[in-house]
Amino acid sequence: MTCEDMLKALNEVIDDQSALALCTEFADHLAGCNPCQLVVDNIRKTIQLYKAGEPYPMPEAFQDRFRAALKARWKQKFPDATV
Amino acid sequence: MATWVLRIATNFAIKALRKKRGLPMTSLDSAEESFADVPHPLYIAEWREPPESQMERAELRELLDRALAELDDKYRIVFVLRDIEGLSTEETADTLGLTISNVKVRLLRARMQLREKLTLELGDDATRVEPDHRHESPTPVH
Repeated sequence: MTCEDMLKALNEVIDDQSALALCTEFADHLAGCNPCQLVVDNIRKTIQLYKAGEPYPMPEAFQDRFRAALKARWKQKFPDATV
Repeated sequence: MATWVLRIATNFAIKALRKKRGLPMTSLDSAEESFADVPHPLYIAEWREPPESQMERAELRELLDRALAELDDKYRIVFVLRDIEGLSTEETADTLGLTISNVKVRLLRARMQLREKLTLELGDDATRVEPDHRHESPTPVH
């Protein structure tokens, strides 16, 4: 299994534990490789931390400009619709 | 949310950020990226007790913000859309105008870099291991 294959499999396994069943070579490696187990665990915890974070508030001026841009785009896409 | 709305929001946010930094506008698209170029992990260790209990919430938030801000824009945006906002790979690719393969490579790059930075702060040095194993088999995975 090349390093490139390992990294590809790593991404899939982090997203979906069941992907391990499809990649027996990576699963076998992971079972016997503590560094790789730690990396998978670290990444899962990293994602959990960011997901659990509070949403970033949008500055009011940004909100106004964003709404204006959305309105303009909506008008462009649906010229007959009333906003 | 419709993908085109996301695309507007994303482009708008990216432009605003780059304008703020005084940087020239460049496309986030690039030639096809490869998993072979993703840097390997250097500092590998178990994390100490749950991060929330080992540092104040504000301190942890600052650490997360800093690590995310230090990512290259093109990796950060994929991580935010995929792992924080929960978009699928396909939705992320469509929103950003990237190939699915590029999304996957950029996502892994972002994940690995964030992992490295956070583990340096949160890792237990006593459990540190060296990434010294070799992946020698040249045979395909499947």
